[in-house]
Amino acid sequence: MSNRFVAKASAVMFTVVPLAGVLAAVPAFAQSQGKAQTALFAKEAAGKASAAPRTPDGKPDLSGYFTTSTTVPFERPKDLGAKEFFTPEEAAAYAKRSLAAKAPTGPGTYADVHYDMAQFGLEKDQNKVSTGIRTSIVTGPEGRVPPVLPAARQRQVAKQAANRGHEFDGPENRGLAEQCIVWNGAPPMTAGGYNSNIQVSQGEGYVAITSEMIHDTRIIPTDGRPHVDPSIRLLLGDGRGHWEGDTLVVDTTNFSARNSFRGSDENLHVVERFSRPSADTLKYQFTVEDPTVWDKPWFGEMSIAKIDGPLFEYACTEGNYGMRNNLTGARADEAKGIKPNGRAALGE
Amino acid sequence: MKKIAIALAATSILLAAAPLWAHHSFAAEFDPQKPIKLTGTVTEMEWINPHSWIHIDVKGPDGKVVNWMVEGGSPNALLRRGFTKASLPAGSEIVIEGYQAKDGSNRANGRDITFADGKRLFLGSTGTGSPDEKPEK
Repeated sequence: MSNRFVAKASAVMFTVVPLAGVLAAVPAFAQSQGKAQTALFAKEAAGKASAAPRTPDGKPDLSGYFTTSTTVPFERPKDLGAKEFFTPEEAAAYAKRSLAAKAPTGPGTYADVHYDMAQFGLEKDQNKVSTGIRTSIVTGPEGRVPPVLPAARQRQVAKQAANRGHEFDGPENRGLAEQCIVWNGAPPMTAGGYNSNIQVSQGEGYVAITSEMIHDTRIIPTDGRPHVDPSIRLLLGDGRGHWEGDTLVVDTTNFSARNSFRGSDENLHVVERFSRPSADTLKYQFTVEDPTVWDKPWFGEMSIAKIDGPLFEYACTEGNYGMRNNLTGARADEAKGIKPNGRAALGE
Repeated sequence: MKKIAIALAATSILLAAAPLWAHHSFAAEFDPQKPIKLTGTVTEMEWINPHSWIHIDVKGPDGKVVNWMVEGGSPNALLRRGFTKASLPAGSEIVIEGYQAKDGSNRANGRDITFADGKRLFLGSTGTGSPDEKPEK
């Protein structure tokens, strides 16, 4: 790794999206979004021209490096009630405060988070990040993931109960992220605690989305082939894409229940819509449904900001001393007659 | 009305600020009852994910040199902040404050790391849930 490259990478990655620039586009965005914020997405007009670059086969070129990091919370904070959009002034104030805010450090809040990202990583105010006038990524009047159905809740409780007291028995009892198996590579795409960077690659008949964390890559055929057999369950699901005008629509099924998203089960079905309103931004919308978990589908929308590449290696398993330390820590606790506490047991 | 909305937004910021998850738990790995301060010489920095690890030789009160390993941040983030392999070469004299591993071995997390001259290395860590944690700002 040359010093020249490092200097370039660090200079670019320190850049925060200028708020003024982002919010300058807000009025038009607010107008279009406020008009018809129904549960379903309005389809892009077929053949509509966009500012996005194009591939040789004429499709909008969605490829590049991006970050899913955003100042917009996934679910709307309850004190904002049914307020789905900020005014541009409110949005600017919220984004500014969000970038300046550091997570609380008191016990029970940030206590199980390993490091202060401002010291050990890249906080939002040190990194590139999207902003927006939405009060939450989850759209609609509630702005929150619907409550889980009672039967699904029972299954979740039973599963937790089965593992209670065994959280540190061995590596298999730990979460998939802690085992370096999967991070946030499955749809819908959301930011994780750090390194929330993706690379979109596009060729004729395929789109691939690589997450920096653990290098999870979704390989999405766009040639019209059907999903794989229902007996095949995949941690990242099985994605199939097609183009609706300048929008890439990705339909993903065949999920494994092992990689649950906010309580989802293996019947999870995610439909994502990607478009590139400008060279610097992807517009990302998604629909989530799982009839055995939620009684209705729910929806999300966010901006994804372009960053300078490349993604860096994240070879997690090889250096995962944390796994050993967690397990030896649990053995040491047991020797003293201490049971792992609930928060520690969660581990993630 | 506008003012009210902004005030409301301010109250909800902290909820939104917490990352979705950390890779693993401080509480499960390190012992809050075992704060340590190590002064020693860097023998190696492992640029590995999910966390970097710094190895140092520490001379104990009995004159015996013991090698410790101390957990740091994700190399990817450190690199993007401008930290390079040249930033902490073997032979550097550093002071580490942190917490020892629960199993009592010579491993720790690095809450604060400074060079011998007191200059801070931004590997320092807060927000770990350690007992002497001070609220930021």
